[in-house]
Amino acid sequence: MAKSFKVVIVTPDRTAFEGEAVSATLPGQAGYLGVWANHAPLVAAVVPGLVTLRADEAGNEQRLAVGAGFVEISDNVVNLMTDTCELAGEIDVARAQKALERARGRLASMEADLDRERARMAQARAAARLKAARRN
Amino acid sequence: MAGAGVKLLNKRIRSVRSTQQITKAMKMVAAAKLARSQGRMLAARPYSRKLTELMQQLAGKADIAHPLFESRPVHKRLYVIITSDKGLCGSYNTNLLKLAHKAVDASVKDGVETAVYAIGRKGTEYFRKRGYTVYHAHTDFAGDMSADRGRLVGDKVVGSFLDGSFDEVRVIYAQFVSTMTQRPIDVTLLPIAPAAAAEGVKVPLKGAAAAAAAGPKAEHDYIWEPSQEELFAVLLPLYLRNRVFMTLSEAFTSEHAARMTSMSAATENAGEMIGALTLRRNRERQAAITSELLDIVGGANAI
Repeated sequence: MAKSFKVVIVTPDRTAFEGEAVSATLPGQAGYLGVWANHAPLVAAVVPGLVTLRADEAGNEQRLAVGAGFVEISDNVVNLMTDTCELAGEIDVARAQKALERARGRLASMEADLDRERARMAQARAAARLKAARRN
Repeated sequence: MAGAGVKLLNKRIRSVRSTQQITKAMKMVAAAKLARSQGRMLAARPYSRKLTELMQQLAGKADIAHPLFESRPVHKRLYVIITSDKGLCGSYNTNLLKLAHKAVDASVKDGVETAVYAIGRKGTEYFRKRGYTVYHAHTDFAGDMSADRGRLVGDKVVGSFLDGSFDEVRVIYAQFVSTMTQRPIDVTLLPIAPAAAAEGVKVPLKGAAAAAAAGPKAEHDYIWEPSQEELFAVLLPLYLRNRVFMTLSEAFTSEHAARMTSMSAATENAGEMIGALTLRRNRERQAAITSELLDIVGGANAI
């Protein structure tokens, strides 16, 4: 049995990540999903959050912030389709912080024409970025 | 002394040469834009392919119904027509508009209320001038694609379908076959035909009804989380937005390719013209010199 599996993360404008991992944690709609090699075939909705990939047994980790999308797992390949994907190292912390504050402010202001769904998504995305960047 | 004809020819050569410089520069710009546009299109393919695969798997499940699948009797039809904003791209717009005009007229003739959603200044002007209903128009895309623009167009189109403004949405755009060839085609965007869910994206599809059953990964018994219906509701808008995005990027790539090809041809033609004119000028100059010499010789003989 294979000990590791392939992870491919695609966004609308590029293939953001492609590599091997021994385990992964993904932000599923109903909570974080843990994935190991030889996972059962699965299709799940993904919400903005933190993806953690462990590249080897020694615990070398890679963290990425992703947006909303889907994950499809089959034949030891994890395919993640998402709006956005950033490696922890690429994240502009100051910008994410600002975006988070802005989204919070918008949600708190009780404007009638506010697109709540969008503001909530923006907030979740910003929070995920910060989370990914912070633990470096 | 050179004659008046030579002077005139020199002037023409200069003018052709400066035109050639312009077309050459435009060709270079188009080539750069084409490369970028094509690169972006290729980079977007894996995502698009994955989305389509997933869509196929879900669309085959008979128990799924969604407003975007609903095919109603067509009383009102919307044509999204993608042309360029600027000219100087050969027959690109002419071919597109010929097809579009025919399609729209045929639709009107069938008694269907037909409106045009024009993307690109050329198409907008064409249909406005001829008195067609222009539902909406974008003239500021300038052949440059972005995710935001895809969303803008996608949301507009989907909204008008869902609220009943239109019963069918079709798209006319130039398919990118190769740098030399762009083919105008007319495809249905909405309602989504479950069997044709893969249309427009290059994923092999084995038979209409068997699409899901014989799909690339049909042997897997997936766990769906949340339920298929819920997943579907999230996937569909994404899928549609992606299709709009891919269509637009393809159309824009075609535009740049057409412009590059036609500007390249123009540059070549200018080169040939300069050659022909130069030859004629040299001949005339020589003729003028010869006749002057004959005059001198004739004059000397007379003395």
